[in-house]
Amino acid sequence: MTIKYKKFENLYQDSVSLMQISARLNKMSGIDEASVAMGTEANLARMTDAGFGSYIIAKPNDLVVAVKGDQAACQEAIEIAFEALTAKPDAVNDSQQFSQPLTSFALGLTQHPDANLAMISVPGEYAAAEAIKALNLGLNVMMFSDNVSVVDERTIKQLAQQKELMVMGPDCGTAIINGIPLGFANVVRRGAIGVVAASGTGLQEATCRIHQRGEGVSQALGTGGHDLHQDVGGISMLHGLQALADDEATKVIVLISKPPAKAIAEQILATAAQVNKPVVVHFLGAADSSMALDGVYAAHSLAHSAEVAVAVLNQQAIPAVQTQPKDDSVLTKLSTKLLPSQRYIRGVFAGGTFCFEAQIIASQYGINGYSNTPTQGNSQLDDVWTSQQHTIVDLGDDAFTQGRPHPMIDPTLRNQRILQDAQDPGTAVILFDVVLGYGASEAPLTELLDVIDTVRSKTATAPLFIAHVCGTELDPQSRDLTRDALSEAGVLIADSNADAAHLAAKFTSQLC
Amino acid sequence: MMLSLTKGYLCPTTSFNGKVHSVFRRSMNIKTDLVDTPWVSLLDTRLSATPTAYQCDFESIGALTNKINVGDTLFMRGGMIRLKSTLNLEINTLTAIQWQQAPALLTINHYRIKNNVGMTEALLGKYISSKKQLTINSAAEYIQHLGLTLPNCIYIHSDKLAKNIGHGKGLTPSGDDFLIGVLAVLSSLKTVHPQAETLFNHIKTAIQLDINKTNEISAHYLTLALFHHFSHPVQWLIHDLFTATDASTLNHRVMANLNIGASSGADTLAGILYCLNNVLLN
Amino acid sequence: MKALFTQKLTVLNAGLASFASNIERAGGEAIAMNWQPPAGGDRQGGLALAELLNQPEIELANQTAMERYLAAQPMLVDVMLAGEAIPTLAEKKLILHAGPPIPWQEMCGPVQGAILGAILFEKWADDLEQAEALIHAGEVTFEPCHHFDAVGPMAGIISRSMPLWVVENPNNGNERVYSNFNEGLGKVLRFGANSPAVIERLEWMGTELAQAMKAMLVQSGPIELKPIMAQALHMGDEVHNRNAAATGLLLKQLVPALLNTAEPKEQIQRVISFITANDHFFLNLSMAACKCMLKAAENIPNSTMVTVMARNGVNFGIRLSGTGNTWFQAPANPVDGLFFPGYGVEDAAADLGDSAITETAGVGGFAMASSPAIVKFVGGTPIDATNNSRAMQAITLGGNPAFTLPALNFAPTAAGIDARKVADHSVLPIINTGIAHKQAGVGQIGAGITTAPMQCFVDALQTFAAQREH
Repeated sequence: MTIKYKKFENLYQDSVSLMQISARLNKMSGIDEASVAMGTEANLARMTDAGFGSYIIAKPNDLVVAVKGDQAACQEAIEIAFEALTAKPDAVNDSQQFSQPLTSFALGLTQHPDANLAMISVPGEYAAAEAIKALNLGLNVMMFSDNVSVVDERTIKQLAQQKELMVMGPDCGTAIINGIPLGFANVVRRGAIGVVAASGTGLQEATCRIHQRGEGVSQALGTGGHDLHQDVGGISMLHGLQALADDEATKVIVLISKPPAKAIAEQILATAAQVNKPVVVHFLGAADSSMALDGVYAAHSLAHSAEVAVAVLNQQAIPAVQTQPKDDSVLTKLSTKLLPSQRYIRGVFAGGTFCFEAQIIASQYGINGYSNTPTQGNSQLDDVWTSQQHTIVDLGDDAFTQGRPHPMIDPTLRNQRILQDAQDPGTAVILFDVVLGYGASEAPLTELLDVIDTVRSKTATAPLFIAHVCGTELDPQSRDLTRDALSEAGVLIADSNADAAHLAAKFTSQLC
Repeated sequence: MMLSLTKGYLCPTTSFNGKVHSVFRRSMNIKTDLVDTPWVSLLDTRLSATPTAYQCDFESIGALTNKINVGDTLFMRGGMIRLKSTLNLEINTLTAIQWQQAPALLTINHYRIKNNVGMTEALLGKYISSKKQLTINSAAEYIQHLGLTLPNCIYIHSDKLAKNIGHGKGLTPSGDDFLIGVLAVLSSLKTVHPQAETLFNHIKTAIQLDINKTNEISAHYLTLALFHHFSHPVQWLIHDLFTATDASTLNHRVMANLNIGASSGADTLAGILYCLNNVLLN
Repeated sequence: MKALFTQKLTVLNAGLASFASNIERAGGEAIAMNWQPPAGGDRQGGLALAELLNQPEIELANQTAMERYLAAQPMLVDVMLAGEAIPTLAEKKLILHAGPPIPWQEMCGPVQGAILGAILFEKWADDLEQAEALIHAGEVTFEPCHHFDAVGPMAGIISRSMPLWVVENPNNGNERVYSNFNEGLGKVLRFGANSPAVIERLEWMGTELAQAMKAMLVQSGPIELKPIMAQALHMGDEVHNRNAAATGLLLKQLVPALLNTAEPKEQIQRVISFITANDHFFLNLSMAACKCMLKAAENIPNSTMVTVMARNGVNFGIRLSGTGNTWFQAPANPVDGLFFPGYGVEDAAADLGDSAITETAGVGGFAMASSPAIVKFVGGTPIDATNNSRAMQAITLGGNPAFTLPALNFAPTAAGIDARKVADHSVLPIINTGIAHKQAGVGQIGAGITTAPMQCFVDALQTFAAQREH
């Protein structure tokens, strides 16, 4: 076996492009392993760990292609990588016309002076500097990048406050500004409900539900998952809340977050109570009593927060708290087909907040188990790659996404996990999410339907599949088509993540 | 990149999108998308500073009319104004320092103001006489020449002054400039004269009713005046009329005002003198 | 932020290109930038840079630096012996060299050879061994030319008995800068040659040539250098690697004045034939003029304008106006060029000389559009030359209207390098350069194009940022 590497100096490309090339090389016959990455310390260390040796010398700006396999294949792989790296899809092949490549925000602004938002998805180590530059140049910022320290996040957000600009993120995957979906976002109609969420899938679920209930979204702002951390102080959420309060188009405001630090939660609720618009607050898993303030409505699930907002907007009765599946008649028919050993719930999620919400709801049915991101009452998995008893995993967590695209972009890993759990004799129900919208996989079901088919053809006692499709009929993948295809494959479809979790938990709880 | 060195105290610091409303050799007016500051101006440093203007050395780059068209879009981001049509024109407003406003009046010395008004009337007369080849000896004669409408008594029919809105030609009609002079005096008297504020508010109400009788730009400056905002030369001229004890200080200040625009400076000065004469001295 | 909700959303996208295309698919406007990690991927450098962007006191300082650079009026006023012009040279055995400071042991071959030649020329030693012994005994010291406001091409050697051009700036208190005389091509001191013929030529230059030039200047009066450079830019020179036109233009002023002097006819003939045989005669004057313009811009607190770029054959060094006399150094980048027959890249010394002062002042590589002949050295086309000049506009504070480029519709040359823009835009200053043989005395073996190394700019910005915090 040969190990070969080639370095391309000062050739930066984004990690997704590089992972695509890696994936292509890995599929070549004769190649055992391939890695295409920028020569950062972390990447070089990872290559050493992967057995590419420790002799690779590169600067962070150098692109490194490393391959293991038989000699001819290695040579070929490097050539293929070179071609892929140098092919410029957007190259304007007019050498007569000089145009300065836009390598920085400052150059971008000289050619596009109307720009007003910087979208930053560069590697985390550069993200803070890019955000500071964008703010200094007067641009609002959305940071998809993660791995930004809390100290840097605070610095960035304070600078934004001082400049009266907005920062969404770091680690903000989704937003809808002026009706335009940013990052991973769904196509929803414009309307009077404004959303600020410290959770990406939380924001998607709420905006989609608002759309499904016939209303629309004025603005949906992400804050990034660390915003309500004690050391950041919820700067973005408070700023977003104020901006929506001042926004004429917004009539009702929805705030969503995992449970924040106590002091931060109090500050946000106090501010919400002062805003002269109704504010619906959903802090996942928090007690209602803490929210008994004028003009503040407590919601109990992501979908519920949307439903409450729509009701408040239309001056209708506030929908009740959901404690049971909306319709569990289907469950009784299905349970007879399982073996006595099939007792466990297996949640396989791409959306982190969906995973969180499912665990909370399962707990309400007395179902506690394991997760890579356990909520209160659940335990850390011994091995994140293997389920044990009741297990609800978030495949979008760092443990799974190092050097791999997020499962929303590429569901391969999620499909593999579903297959693995479905073949486990202890599994009674597979609970999963399919997230649609821009940025998400364009064909999220292609492999998944095969997986479900395989499981069903192999055994008559296949577990029950329960899914929730987060999206709208206007999304490029279409929620309706996706739901139909899953139904046809025998998957039980719930209307919301919360309802899917209720169905799965109820079903599981009746087995023992 | 050009650096703006001075700016008015009402200039926006936040981002905005704008359109060039009018452009002259060394200045332009911009309509912005901001609610609080719908207008800003870019002026050469040699032109008189207004509360909503950024000033730059436009003289050094030649006539703006050759580079910029009415309707051109421009954008302020991070204090930098960039024009889309001419990629080379970038104006950094972060470097600008706010010009100082004239301090509020504490007392009135009637002898001094009378003396200074007298000197200023003479300067106005001399200036108009030399410029228009007609003999003008006082502000009253000049106002008559302009054909402006005046109440018999300012204390009783001050609202009649508003009839002058839009009277005359130019970007800022003479009637409007005259009114700005009147308002500027009443505004600065509010701390020292018992009836100044009432008079100001009467005129303000009347002007607000007829504000659409003049053009957009002039309406903008009138509106600023209604909220007590006046240009640097006007603020300091009034200040000096009340405080100057030597002829040369006042002379310098009056001439700076007279040289504004084609006749704007003289028209405003006429309003200032009219108001001082009728409110304080008669 | 409220404003954003009422404006049309326009997104500048740095990173995953799919985010931009999704926005466009959804009916929004997004520009997929070709983002590059700034500051050469140096995280701390990138953070320092971020804090320096769009800061009013820096913009004001840079405007002042730029105005002073533009206002400079370099005048050739005199010829003096180095020992007179720079008194320190007369006080001790000091030899000046090109680029940032460097100890003897680390110097490249050509600089060492040239220094030994200068010792022989000054008669401090009788032969090369003695000369080297003198150095090892610590009796001869070395400093960069720039420390004395002087510049010299390639090795850039200046010792006390050499003649210097004296260039003054009447718009900056008649501050003086200096450069040495150009010896011509072939075996010459600046490429490290130190044979008797080389020393003999230096002796002639220090006496007959220097006297003639001094007498000539008395007749001609001060010669304005900027107009000669400006004209030469319209005649195919970029006044760094090509000086044929500028040398001719200088001759037009020099010859009549020289004929008016009382110097003997034979001497005048020898002087004129020496000058006419050397197309690069003007180079040293071009460099002095550039140094003069940049000296005016030095030492302005808070300015990020680059005032010096120079190489010592090992390292590339820069100085910023706002960081005073501190050098920021990094190993010189390789030269992309063509070699004379019989030589190759393995024979080449690293980039060398103070002549990058021309690029610092907005000519040379920055004005390549005016000199298509130069791009042939790298197998390029005239379009590459104009594109290089255009690319430099991305890293400069403005243009120099005194120097215009016909190929760019008489646009001003890009001038006043802003270290922030270099690091932020990942665009390196382009430098046209000759290539010296790595062994002393072989001479020039090629020419080509290189760039200033990124690390100098990043280090300079970090120091600048740290300095601002105090």
